[in-house]
Amino acid sequence: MSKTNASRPIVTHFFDEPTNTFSYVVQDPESQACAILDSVLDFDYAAGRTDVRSAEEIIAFVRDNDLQVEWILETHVHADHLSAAPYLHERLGGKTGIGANITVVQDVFGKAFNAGTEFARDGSQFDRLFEEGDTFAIGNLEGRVLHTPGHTPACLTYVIGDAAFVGDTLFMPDYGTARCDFPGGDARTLYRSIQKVLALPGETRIFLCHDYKAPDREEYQHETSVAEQLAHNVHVHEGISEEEFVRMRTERDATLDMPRLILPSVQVNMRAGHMPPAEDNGQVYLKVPINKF
Amino acid sequence: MKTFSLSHSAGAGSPDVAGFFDPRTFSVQYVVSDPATGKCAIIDPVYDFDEKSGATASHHADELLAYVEQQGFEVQWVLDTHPHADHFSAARYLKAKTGAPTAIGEKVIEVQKLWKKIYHWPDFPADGSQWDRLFADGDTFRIGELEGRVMFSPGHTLASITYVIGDAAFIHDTIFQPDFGTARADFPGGDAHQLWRSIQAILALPNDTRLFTGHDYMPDGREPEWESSVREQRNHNPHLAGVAEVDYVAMRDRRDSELPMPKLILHSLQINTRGGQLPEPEANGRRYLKIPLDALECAAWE
Repeated sequence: MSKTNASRPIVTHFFDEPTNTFSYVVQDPESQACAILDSVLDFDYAAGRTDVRSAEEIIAFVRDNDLQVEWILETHVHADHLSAAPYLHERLGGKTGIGANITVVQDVFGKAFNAGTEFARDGSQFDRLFEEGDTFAIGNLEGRVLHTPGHTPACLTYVIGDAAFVGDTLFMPDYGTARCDFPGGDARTLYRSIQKVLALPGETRIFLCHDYKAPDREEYQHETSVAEQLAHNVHVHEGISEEEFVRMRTERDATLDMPRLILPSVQVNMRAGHMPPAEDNGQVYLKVPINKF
Repeated sequence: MKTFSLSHSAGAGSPDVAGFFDPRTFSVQYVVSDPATGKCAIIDPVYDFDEKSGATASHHADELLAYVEQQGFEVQWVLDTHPHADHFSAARYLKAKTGAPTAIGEKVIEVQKLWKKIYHWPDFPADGSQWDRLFADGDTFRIGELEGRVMFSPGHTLASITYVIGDAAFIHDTIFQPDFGTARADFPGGDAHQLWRSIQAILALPNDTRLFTGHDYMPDGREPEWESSVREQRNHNPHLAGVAEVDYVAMRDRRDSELPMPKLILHSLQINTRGGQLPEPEANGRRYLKIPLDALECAAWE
Protein backbone atom coordinates (compact mmCIF):
# COMPACT_ATOMS: atom_id res chain seq x y z
CA MET A 1 0.00 0.00 0.00
CA SER A 2 1.36 3.39 -0.86
CA LYS A 3 1.95 5.82 1.93
CA THR A 4 -1.22 7.49 3.15
CA ASN A 5 -1.62 10.57 5.25
CA ALA A 6 -2.40 8.28 8.15
CA SER A 7 1.24 7.30 8.33
CA ARG A 8 2.50 10.88 8.25
CA PRO A 9 1.56 12.84 11.36
CA ILE A 10 1.49 16.62 11.48
CA VAL A 11 4.23 17.59 13.94
CA THR A 12 4.34 21.01 15.57
CA HIS A 13 7.29 21.92 17.77
CA PHE A 14 7.50 24.27 20.73
CA PHE A 15 10.92 25.42 21.92
CA ASP A 16 11.86 26.38 25.45
CA GLU A 17 15.12 28.28 25.11
CA PRO A 18 16.07 28.41 28.83
CA THR A 19 16.29 24.59 28.85
CA ASN A 20 16.88 24.05 25.09
CA THR A 21 13.91 21.68 25.06
CA PHE A 22 11.53 20.84 22.22
CA SER A 23 7.99 19.82 23.07
CA TYR A 24 5.76 18.46 20.33
CA VAL A 25 2.13 18.21 19.37
CA VAL A 26 1.76 15.18 17.11
CA GLN A 27 -1.46 15.26 15.18
CA ASP A 28 -3.41 12.74 13.12
CA PRO A 29 -4.10 14.44 9.76
CA GLU A 30 -7.34 12.47 9.37
CA SER A 31 -8.95 13.31 12.70
CA GLN A 32 -8.66 15.81 15.54
CA ALA A 33 -6.60 13.42 17.66
CA CYS A 34 -3.19 14.43 18.94
CA ALA A 35 -0.50 13.62 21.48
CA ILE A 36 1.71 16.03 23.43
CA LEU A 37 5.30 14.98 23.97
CA ASP A 38 7.83 16.19 26.52
CA SER A 39 6.10 19.30 27.82
CA VAL A 40 7.90 21.91 29.94
CA LEU A 41 6.88 23.59 33.19
CA ASP A 42 8.72 26.90 33.42
CA PHE A 43 10.98 27.09 36.46
CA ASP A 44 13.13 29.94 37.74
CA TYR A 45 15.45 28.04 40.07
CA ALA A 46 16.98 31.14 41.64
CA ALA A 47 13.61 32.48 42.75
CA GLY A 48 12.08 29.02 43.23
CA ARG A 49 9.12 29.98 41.06
CA THR A 50 7.16 27.92 38.56
CA ASP A 51 5.01 29.13 35.69
CA VAL A 52 2.82 27.61 32.98
CA ARG A 53 3.49 30.03 30.14
CA SER A 54 5.08 27.33 27.98
CA ALA A 55 2.24 24.91 28.70
CA GLU A 56 -0.29 27.63 27.89
CA GLU A 57 1.23 27.99 24.42
CA ILE A 58 0.53 24.34 23.78
CA ILE A 59 -2.96 24.63 25.23
CA ALA A 60 -3.70 27.58 22.96
CA PHE A 61 -2.46 25.63 19.94
CA VAL A 62 -4.59 22.61 20.83
CA ARG A 63 -7.68 24.78 21.31
CA ASP A 64 -7.10 26.94 18.21
CA ASN A 65 -6.92 23.80 16.12
CA ASP A 66 -9.78 22.12 17.92
CA LEU A 67 -7.64 19.09 18.74
CA GLN A 68 -8.46 16.22 21.04
CA VAL A 69 -5.57 15.23 23.28
CA GLU A 70 -5.34 11.46 23.54
CA TRP A 71 -1.87 11.16 25.04
CA ILE A 72 0.53 13.19 27.13
CA LEU A 73 3.81 11.36 26.72
CA GLU A 74 7.32 11.57 28.10
CA THR A 75 10.33 10.04 26.39
CA HIS A 76 12.04 9.77 29.79
CA VAL A 77 12.48 11.29 33.24
CA HIS A 78 14.12 14.53 32.19
CA ALA A 79 17.03 15.97 34.12
CA ASP A 80 16.98 19.46 32.66
CA HIS A 81 13.40 20.66 32.90
CA LEU A 82 10.24 20.01 34.85
CA SER A 83 7.37 18.30 33.06
CA ALA A 84 4.04 20.12 32.69
CA ALA A 85 2.15 16.86 32.17
CA PRO A 86 -0.15 17.21 35.23
CA TYR A 87 -1.18 20.73 34.25
CA LEU A 88 -1.83 19.76 30.63
CA HIS A 89 -3.70 16.67 31.76
CA GLU A 90 -5.92 18.75 34.02
CA ARG A 91 -6.64 21.29 31.29
CA LEU A 92 -6.84 19.06 28.23
CA GLY A 93 -7.44 15.50 29.37
CA GLY A 94 -5.68 12.58 27.69
CA LYS A 95 -3.71 9.72 29.19
CA THR A 96 -0.15 10.05 30.44
CA GLY A 97 2.53 7.57 29.45
CA ILE A 98 6.22 6.81 29.91
CA GLY A 99 8.56 3.79 29.63
CA ALA A 100 8.04 0.86 31.99
CA ASN A 101 11.58 1.25 33.32
CA ILE A 102 10.43 4.40 35.12
CA THR A 103 10.24 2.10 38.16
CA VAL A 104 14.04 1.73 38.11
CA VAL A 105 14.44 5.49 38.02
CA GLN A 106 11.85 5.94 40.78
CA ASP A 107 13.70 3.49 42.96
CA VAL A 108 17.09 5.19 42.53
CA PHE A 109 15.84 8.75 42.98
CA GLY A 110 13.22 7.89 45.60
CA LYS A 111 16.17 6.83 47.74
CA ALA A 112 18.38 9.75 46.75
CA PHE A 113 15.71 12.27 47.74
CA ASN A 114 14.57 10.22 50.74
CA ALA A 115 11.01 10.45 49.47
CA GLY A 116 8.33 9.34 51.90
CA THR A 117 6.35 6.12 51.69
CA GLU A 118 3.59 8.05 49.90
CA PHE A 119 5.85 8.05 46.85
CA ALA A 120 5.01 4.83 44.98
CA ARG A 121 7.91 3.35 43.02
CA ASP A 122 5.64 1.33 40.72
CA GLY A 123 4.97 3.87 37.99
CA SER A 124 1.34 4.22 39.10
CA GLN A 125 1.58 8.01 38.70
CA PHE A 126 1.24 7.42 34.93
CA ASP A 127 -1.78 6.04 33.11
CA ARG A 128 0.31 3.76 30.95
CA LEU A 129 3.76 2.24 31.21
CA PHE A 130 5.08 1.25 27.79
CA GLU A 131 6.99 -1.94 27.14
CA GLU A 132 9.21 -2.56 24.14
CA GLY A 133 7.04 -3.05 21.06
CA ASP A 134 3.85 -1.74 22.62
CA THR A 135 1.55 0.13 20.29
CA PHE A 136 -0.98 2.86 20.90
CA ALA A 137 -3.36 4.90 18.77
CA ILE A 138 -3.57 8.64 18.12
CA GLY A 139 -6.77 8.69 16.08
CA ASN A 140 -5.85 6.66 13.00
CA LEU A 141 -2.14 6.96 13.62
CA GLU A 142 -0.29 4.09 15.16
CA GLY A 143 2.43 4.74 17.70
CA ARG A 144 5.02 2.11 18.49
CA VAL A 145 7.50 2.02 21.33
CA LEU A 146 11.21 1.26 21.11
CA HIS A 147 13.07 1.06 24.37
CA THR A 148 16.17 3.18 23.86
CA PRO A 149 17.97 3.31 27.22
CA GLY A 150 21.49 4.65 27.71
CA HIS A 151 20.97 8.28 28.64
CA THR A 152 18.67 6.97 31.38
CA PRO A 153 17.35 3.45 31.96
CA ALA A 154 13.78 4.54 31.15
CA CYS A 155 14.38 6.29 27.83
CA LEU A 156 12.23 5.31 24.93
CA THR A 157 11.56 6.36 21.37
CA TYR A 158 8.02 6.84 20.09
CA VAL A 159 7.71 5.88 16.42
CA ILE A 160 4.50 7.45 15.14
CA GLY A 161 3.92 6.86 11.43
CA ASP A 162 7.05 8.09 9.67
CA ALA A 163 8.17 10.17 12.65
CA ALA A 164 10.43 9.08 15.50
CA PHE A 165 10.61 11.04 18.74
CA VAL A 166 13.97 9.98 20.03
CA GLY A 167 14.20 11.86 23.33
CA ASP A 168 17.80 12.12 24.52
CA THR A 169 19.57 9.64 22.29
CA LEU A 170 20.59 11.44 19.13
CA PHE A 171 20.90 15.20 18.74
CA MET A 172 21.40 17.05 15.47
CA PRO A 173 24.06 15.38 13.30
CA ASP A 174 26.47 18.29 13.85
CA TYR A 175 26.05 18.09 17.64
CA GLY A 176 26.07 14.36 18.33
CA THR A 177 24.51 12.30 21.07
CA ALA A 178 23.20 12.48 24.64
CA ARG A 179 25.38 12.06 27.70
CA CYS A 180 25.33 8.79 29.60
CA ASP A 181 26.71 9.65 33.01
CA PHE A 182 23.53 10.11 35.02
CA PRO A 183 22.57 7.40 37.53
CA GLY A 184 21.60 4.34 35.47
CA GLY A 185 23.06 5.76 32.25
CA ASP A 186 25.45 3.70 30.10
CA ALA A 187 27.32 4.56 26.90
CA ARG A 188 27.34 1.03 25.48
CA THR A 189 23.60 0.75 26.04
CA LEU A 190 23.07 4.09 24.32
CA TYR A 191 25.09 2.97 21.30
CA ARG A 192 22.88 -0.10 20.92
CA SER A 193 19.72 1.97 21.37
CA ILE A 194 20.88 4.37 18.70
CA GLN A 195 21.46 1.45 16.32
CA LYS A 196 17.80 0.50 16.82
CA VAL A 197 16.73 4.02 15.87
CA LEU A 198 19.06 4.07 12.87
CA ALA A 199 17.61 0.76 11.67
CA LEU A 200 14.35 2.56 10.91
CA PRO A 201 13.77 3.47 7.24
CA GLY A 202 16.21 6.10 6.00
CA GLU A 203 13.49 8.67 5.32
CA THR A 204 12.11 8.42 8.87
CA ARG A 205 11.78 11.90 10.29
CA ILE A 206 13.67 12.21 13.58
CA PHE A 207 12.44 14.78 16.09
CA LEU A 208 14.85 15.79 18.82
CA CYS A 209 14.21 16.63 22.43
CA HIS A 210 17.00 19.22 22.59
CA ASP A 211 19.20 21.38 20.45
CA TYR A 212 22.14 23.50 21.56
CA LYS A 213 23.11 24.90 18.16
CA ALA A 214 26.58 23.80 17.06
CA PRO A 215 29.83 25.29 15.85
CA ASP A 216 29.03 27.05 12.54
CA ARG A 217 25.27 26.85 13.11
CA GLU A 218 23.37 29.83 14.55
CA GLU A 219 19.81 28.50 14.27
CA TYR A 220 18.10 25.99 16.51
CA GLN A 221 16.96 22.87 14.68
CA HIS A 222 14.64 20.12 15.82
CA GLU A 223 14.23 17.77 12.86
CA THR A 224 16.53 15.48 10.93
CA SER A 225 16.27 12.01 9.39
CA VAL A 226 17.71 8.55 9.85
CA ALA A 227 19.64 8.89 6.59
CA GLU A 228 21.17 12.20 7.68
CA GLN A 229 22.16 10.77 11.04
CA LEU A 230 23.78 7.74 9.45
CA ALA A 231 25.71 9.90 7.05
CA HIS A 232 26.72 12.79 9.26
CA ASN A 233 26.27 12.36 13.02
CA VAL A 234 29.60 13.44 14.44
CA HIS A 235 29.49 10.86 17.24
CA VAL A 236 27.82 7.91 15.65
CA HIS A 237 27.74 8.08 11.85
CA GLU A 238 28.00 4.84 9.89
CA GLY A 239 31.41 3.28 10.46
CA ILE A 240 31.93 4.34 14.07
CA SER A 241 32.26 1.21 16.15
CA GLU A 242 30.69 0.59 19.52
CA GLU A 243 34.12 0.67 21.17
CA GLU A 244 35.01 4.00 19.56
CA PHE A 245 31.70 5.48 20.60
CA VAL A 246 31.92 4.26 24.18
CA ARG A 247 35.43 5.65 24.55
CA MET A 248 34.47 9.05 23.09
CA ARG A 249 31.23 9.28 25.11
CA THR A 250 32.83 8.28 28.40
CA GLU A 251 35.74 10.69 27.99
CA ARG A 252 33.42 13.52 27.05
CA ASP A 253 30.98 12.87 29.88
CA ALA A 254 33.80 13.09 32.40
CA THR A 255 34.26 16.75 31.42
CA LEU A 256 30.60 17.78 31.72
CA ASP A 257 28.98 19.60 34.64
CA MET A 258 25.70 18.31 35.98
CA PRO A 259 22.76 20.03 34.23
CA ARG A 260 21.65 23.12 36.11
CA LEU A 261 18.21 21.76 36.91
CA ILE A 262 18.92 18.07 37.48
CA LEU A 263 18.10 18.11 41.19
CA PRO A 264 14.79 20.00 40.91
CA SER A 265 13.78 18.21 37.69
CA VAL A 266 14.28 14.64 38.67
CA GLN A 267 12.34 14.79 41.91
CA VAL A 268 9.34 16.30 40.11
CA ASN A 269 9.54 14.21 36.96
CA MET A 270 9.87 10.93 38.86
CA ARG A 271 6.42 11.87 40.19
CA ALA A 272 5.06 12.30 36.65
CA GLY A 273 5.43 16.06 37.02
CA HIS A 274 3.60 16.30 40.34
CA MET A 275 5.18 18.33 43.11
CA PRO A 276 6.25 16.59 46.33
CA PRO A 277 3.60 16.73 49.07
CA ALA A 278 3.34 20.08 50.89
CA GLU A 279 4.60 20.37 54.46
CA ASP A 280 2.07 21.10 57.19
CA ASN A 281 2.32 24.84 56.51
CA GLY A 282 0.90 24.18 53.05
CA GLN A 283 4.20 25.07 51.38
CA VAL A 284 5.84 22.78 48.83
CA TYR A 285 9.60 22.33 49.05
CA LEU A 286 12.00 20.70 46.65
CA LYS A 287 15.00 19.02 48.20
CA VAL A 288 18.67 19.37 47.35
CA PRO A 289 20.68 16.40 48.58
CA ILE A 290 24.09 17.58 49.75
CA ASN A 291 27.13 15.67 48.47
CA LYS A 292 25.12 12.87 46.90
CA PHE A 293 25.83 13.43 43.20
CA MET B 1 42.94 36.21 36.98
CA LYS B 2 44.08 38.04 40.08
CA THR B 3 42.55 36.28 43.09
CA PHE B 4 44.85 37.56 45.85
CA SER B 5 46.29 40.85 46.95
CA LEU B 6 47.76 42.31 50.09
CA SER B 7 46.99 45.84 51.23
CA HIS B 8 49.70 46.96 53.62
CA SER B 9 49.37 48.47 57.06
CA ALA B 10 49.84 52.25 57.16
CA GLY B 11 51.52 52.00 60.58
CA ALA B 12 50.48 51.43 64.18
CA GLY B 13 46.77 50.71 64.55
CA SER B 14 46.39 49.96 60.84
CA PRO B 15 45.91 46.35 59.68
CA ASP B 16 47.42 44.35 56.86
CA VAL B 17 44.52 43.20 54.71
CA ALA B 18 44.83 40.13 52.50
CA GLY B 19 41.97 39.75 50.00
CA PHE B 20 41.03 36.40 48.44
CA PHE B 21 38.68 36.41 45.46
CA ASP B 22 36.29 33.54 44.67
CA PRO B 23 35.55 33.77 40.92
CA ARG B 24 32.65 31.33 41.21
CA THR B 25 30.58 33.65 43.41
CA PHE B 26 32.51 36.90 42.78
CA SER B 27 33.02 37.13 46.56
CA VAL B 28 35.98 38.63 48.38
CA GLN B 29 37.18 37.08 51.64
CA TYR B 30 39.61 38.81 53.93
CA VAL B 31 42.32 38.00 56.44
CA VAL B 32 42.80 41.16 58.54
CA SER B 33 45.93 41.03 60.65
CA ASP B 34 47.72 43.09 63.27
CA PRO B 35 51.36 43.43 62.20
CA ALA B 36 52.39 44.04 65.81
CA THR B 37 51.03 40.78 67.26
CA GLY B 38 50.24 38.41 64.39
CA LYS B 39 46.61 38.15 65.51
CA CYS B 40 44.04 38.14 62.75
CA ALA B 41 40.36 37.98 61.88
CA ILE B 42 38.82 36.23 58.90
CA ILE B 43 35.93 38.12 57.31
CA ASP B 44 33.25 36.61 55.05
CA PRO B 45 34.86 33.26 54.26
CA VAL B 46 33.24 31.16 51.51
CA TYR B 47 32.31 27.51 51.79
CA ASP B 48 32.24 26.14 48.24
CA PHE B 49 28.99 24.79 46.83
CA ASP B 50 28.08 23.47 43.40
CA GLU B 51 24.36 23.92 43.04
CA LYS B 52 24.13 21.64 40.04
CA SER B 53 25.34 18.54 41.84
CA GLY B 54 24.67 19.67 45.42
CA ALA B 55 28.34 19.08 46.31
CA THR B 56 30.16 21.14 48.95
CA ALA B 57 33.91 21.67 49.38
CA SER B 58 36.31 23.66 51.54
CA HIS B 59 38.84 24.73 48.89
CA HIS B 60 38.52 28.43 49.62
CA ALA B 61 38.36 28.10 53.38
CA ASP B 62 41.44 25.86 53.28
CA GLU B 63 43.24 28.46 51.20
CA LEU B 64 42.58 31.00 53.98
CA LEU B 65 43.84 28.55 56.60
CA ALA B 66 46.99 27.85 54.59
CA TYR B 67 47.69 31.59 54.39
CA VAL B 68 47.13 32.02 58.12
CA GLU B 69 49.49 29.16 58.85
CA GLN B 70 52.13 30.32 56.40
CA GLN B 71 52.09 33.81 57.94
CA GLY B 72 52.16 32.40 61.47
CA PHE B 73 48.94 34.21 62.39
CA GLU B 74 46.57 33.33 65.17
CA VAL B 75 42.88 33.60 64.26
CA GLN B 76 40.96 35.60 66.88
CA TRP B 77 37.67 36.06 65.06
CA VAL B 78 35.66 34.56 62.23
CA LEU B 79 33.35 37.37 61.17
CA ASP B 80 30.47 37.72 58.75
CA THR B 81 29.13 41.08 57.61
CA HIS B 82 25.65 39.66 56.98
CA PRO B 83 23.83 36.45 56.10
CA HIS B 84 24.89 36.16 52.46
CA ALA B 85 22.51 35.28 49.65
CA ASP B 86 25.06 34.19 47.08
CA HIS B 87 27.44 31.84 48.86
CA PHE B 88 27.68 29.65 51.92
CA SER B 89 29.59 31.01 54.90
CA ALA B 90 32.59 28.95 55.99
CA ALA B 91 32.35 30.39 59.53
CA ARG B 92 31.35 27.12 61.13
CA TYR B 93 34.05 25.21 59.30
CA LEU B 94 36.75 27.71 60.27
CA LYS B 95 35.63 27.80 63.89
CA ALA B 96 35.96 24.01 63.98
CA LYS B 97 39.46 24.26 62.47
CA THR B 98 40.79 27.20 64.51
CA GLY B 99 38.66 27.39 67.64
CA ALA B 100 38.16 31.12 67.02
CA PRO B 101 34.76 32.58 67.97
CA THR B 102 32.26 33.54 65.28
CA ALA B 103 30.30 36.79 65.16
CA ILE B 104 27.75 38.70 63.09
CA GLY B 105 25.37 41.64 63.61
CA GLU B 106 22.63 41.12 66.21
CA LYS B 107 19.87 41.92 63.72
CA VAL B 108 20.57 38.52 62.22
CA ILE B 109 17.82 37.38 64.58
CA GLU B 110 15.28 39.30 62.51
CA VAL B 111 16.61 37.64 59.37
CA GLN B 112 16.39 34.26 61.07
CA LYS B 113 12.75 34.87 61.95
CA LEU B 114 11.97 35.83 58.39
CA TRP B 115 13.59 32.76 56.84
CA LYS B 116 12.44 30.40 59.57
CA LYS B 117 8.96 30.95 58.18
CA ILE B 118 9.98 30.58 54.56
CA TYR B 119 11.84 27.34 55.26
CA HIS B 120 9.24 26.10 57.74
CA TRP B 121 11.59 25.22 60.57
CA PRO B 122 9.24 25.11 63.55
CA ASP B 123 11.99 24.01 65.96
CA PHE B 124 14.71 26.38 64.76
CA PRO B 125 15.95 28.70 67.52
CA ALA B 126 15.83 32.13 65.86
CA ASP B 127 17.88 33.68 68.66
CA GLY B 128 21.36 34.12 67.22
CA SER B 129 22.69 31.32 69.41
CA GLN B 130 24.47 29.90 66.34
CA TRP B 131 27.20 32.56 66.75
CA ASP B 132 29.53 33.22 69.69
CA ARG B 133 28.94 36.95 69.63
CA LEU B 134 26.21 39.19 68.22
CA PHE B 135 27.40 42.73 67.65
CA ALA B 136 25.29 45.75 68.51
CA ASP B 137 25.78 49.08 66.73
CA GLY B 138 28.94 50.74 68.09
CA ASP B 139 30.34 47.58 69.70
CA THR B 140 34.11 47.26 69.73
CA PHE B 141 36.38 44.22 69.68
CA ARG B 142 40.13 43.54 69.52
CA ILE B 143 42.37 41.87 66.98
CA GLY B 144 45.68 41.91 68.87
CA GLU B 145 46.30 45.60 69.42
CA LEU B 146 43.91 46.69 66.69
CA GLU B 147 40.51 48.00 67.58
CA GLY B 148 37.49 46.96 65.57
CA ARG B 149 34.25 48.89 65.67
CA VAL B 150 30.83 47.88 64.38
CA MET B 151 28.59 50.16 62.32
CA PHE B 152 25.15 48.94 61.41
CA SER B 153 24.74 49.19 57.63
CA PRO B 154 21.25 47.88 56.83
CA GLY B 155 19.71 48.16 53.39
CA HIS B 156 21.05 45.23 51.40
CA THR B 157 19.89 43.06 54.29
CA LEU B 158 18.51 44.31 57.57
CA ALA B 159 21.37 42.63 59.44
CA SER B 160 24.28 44.02 57.39
CA ILE B 161 27.13 45.58 59.34
CA THR B 162 30.41 47.29 58.51
CA TYR B 163 33.55 46.41 60.43
CA VAL B 164 35.85 49.42 60.85
CA ILE B 165 39.28 48.15 61.85
CA GLY B 166 41.87 50.93 62.18
CA ASP B 167 41.90 52.75 58.83
CA ALA B 168 40.13 49.88 57.03
CA ALA B 169 36.39 49.38 56.64
CA PHE B 170 34.82 46.11 55.50
CA ILE B 171 31.69 47.31 53.84
CA HIS B 172 30.66 44.17 52.03
CA ASP B 173 27.38 44.55 50.14
CA THR B 174 26.85 48.30 50.44
CA ILE B 175 29.22 49.91 47.96
CA PHE B 176 31.04 48.02 45.23
CA GLN B 177 34.07 49.30 43.31
CA PRO B 178 33.71 52.91 42.10
CA ASP B 179 33.32 51.76 38.48
CA PHE B 180 30.42 49.47 39.36
CA GLY B 181 28.01 50.99 41.87
CA THR B 182 26.13 49.72 44.91
CA ALA B 183 24.42 46.59 46.22
CA ARG B 184 20.83 45.65 45.48
CA ALA B 185 18.22 46.24 48.15
CA ASP B 186 15.34 43.99 47.11
CA PHE B 187 15.88 40.83 49.15
CA PRO B 188 13.46 40.08 51.98
CA GLY B 189 14.28 42.73 54.61
CA GLY B 190 16.17 44.95 52.15
CA ASP B 191 15.42 48.67 51.72
CA ALA B 192 16.92 51.23 49.32
CA HIS B 193 16.38 54.21 51.68
CA GLN B 194 18.19 52.41 54.47
CA LEU B 195 20.97 51.42 52.12
CA TRP B 196 21.43 55.07 51.12
CA ARG B 197 21.74 56.14 54.74
CA SER B 198 24.15 53.31 55.52
CA ILE B 199 26.28 54.33 52.56
CA GLN B 200 26.30 57.96 53.75
CA ALA B 201 27.61 56.82 57.13
CA ILE B 202 30.43 54.94 55.37
CA LEU B 203 31.21 57.98 53.22
CA ALA B 204 31.42 60.06 56.44
CA LEU B 205 34.50 58.06 57.47
CA PRO B 206 37.85 59.86 56.92
CA ASN B 207 38.64 60.35 53.23
CA ASP B 208 41.65 58.02 53.26
CA THR B 209 39.81 55.14 54.87
CA ARG B 210 40.53 51.97 52.89
CA LEU B 211 37.22 50.45 51.83
CA PHE B 212 37.11 46.70 51.20
CA THR B 213 34.05 45.52 49.34
CA GLY B 214 32.41 42.10 49.40
CA HIS B 215 31.98 41.44 45.71
CA ASP B 216 33.45 42.44 42.43
CA TYR B 217 31.81 41.70 39.10
CA MET B 218 34.72 42.78 36.90
CA PRO B 219 32.95 45.30 34.65
CA ASP B 220 34.18 45.34 31.05
CA GLY B 221 36.32 42.32 31.76
CA ARG B 222 38.85 44.09 33.99
CA GLU B 223 40.75 42.15 36.64
CA PRO B 224 39.01 41.69 39.99
CA GLU B 225 39.47 44.59 42.44
CA TRP B 226 38.14 45.10 45.92
CA GLU B 227 39.88 48.06 47.54
CA SER B 228 38.91 51.71 47.18
CA SER B 229 38.85 54.80 49.42
CA VAL B 230 36.09 57.03 50.73
CA ARG B 231 37.42 59.79 48.48
CA GLU B 232 37.32 57.64 45.35
CA GLN B 233 33.81 56.50 46.09
CA ARG B 234 32.60 60.04 46.72
CA ASN B 235 34.09 61.30 43.49
CA HIS B 236 33.57 58.43 41.09
CA ASN B 237 30.89 55.94 42.12
CA PRO B 238 28.18 56.41 39.46
CA HIS B 239 25.40 55.60 41.92
CA LEU B 240 26.66 58.11 44.49
CA ALA B 241 28.71 60.98 43.07
CA GLY B 242 26.45 64.03 42.92
CA VAL B 243 23.34 61.88 43.44
CA ALA B 244 20.52 62.82 45.85
CA GLU B 245 18.75 60.26 48.04
CA VAL B 246 15.46 60.43 46.16
CA ASP B 247 17.18 59.82 42.83
CA TYR B 248 19.29 57.05 44.29
CA VAL B 249 16.26 55.23 45.68
CA ALA B 250 14.37 55.56 42.40
CA MET B 251 17.39 54.27 40.46
CA ARG B 252 17.97 51.42 42.92
CA ASP B 253 14.34 50.26 42.95
CA ARG B 254 14.11 50.42 39.16
CA ARG B 255 17.33 48.47 38.69
CA ASP B 256 16.45 45.90 41.34
CA SER B 257 13.09 45.20 39.73
CA GLU B 258 14.98 44.03 36.63
CA LEU B 259 17.46 41.75 38.41
CA PRO B 260 16.93 38.02 38.71
CA MET B 261 17.32 36.52 42.18
CA PRO B 262 20.90 35.44 42.91
CA LYS B 263 21.12 31.84 41.88
CA LEU B 264 21.97 30.63 45.38
CA ILE B 265 19.66 32.75 47.55
CA LEU B 266 17.35 29.88 48.49
CA HIS B 267 20.27 27.56 49.09
CA SER B 268 22.47 30.06 50.93
CA LEU B 269 20.10 31.53 53.47
CA GLN B 270 19.38 28.19 55.04
CA ILE B 271 23.10 27.69 55.69
CA ASN B 272 23.91 31.27 56.58
CA THR B 273 21.00 31.83 58.98
CA ARG B 274 22.44 28.79 60.81
CA GLY B 275 25.86 30.36 61.17
CA GLY B 276 27.29 28.32 58.29
CA GLN B 277 26.06 24.98 59.56
CA LEU B 278 24.53 22.42 57.18
CA PRO B 279 21.00 21.21 57.98
CA GLU B 280 20.62 18.19 60.27
CA PRO B 281 20.63 14.87 58.42
CA GLU B 282 17.41 12.99 57.73
CA ALA B 283 16.88 9.43 58.97
CA ASN B 284 18.91 8.06 56.04
CA GLY B 285 21.94 10.02 57.25
CA ARG B 286 21.88 12.44 54.31
CA ARG B 287 21.49 16.20 54.58
CA TYR B 288 19.08 18.07 52.33
CA LEU B 289 18.56 21.71 51.53
CA LYS B 290 14.99 22.84 50.97
CA ILE B 291 13.86 24.95 48.04
CA PRO B 292 10.50 26.59 48.77
CA LEU B 293 8.40 26.76 45.61
CA ASP B 294 6.63 29.97 44.71
CA ALA B 295 7.49 31.60 48.05
CA LEU B 296 9.62 34.49 46.74
CA GLU B 297 8.38 37.13 44.34
CA CYS B 298 10.27 38.46 41.36
CA ALA B 299 11.01 35.56 39.10
CA ALA B 300 12.73 36.66 35.91
CA TRP B 301 10.82 35.06 33.07
CA GLU B 302 11.87 37.25 30.21
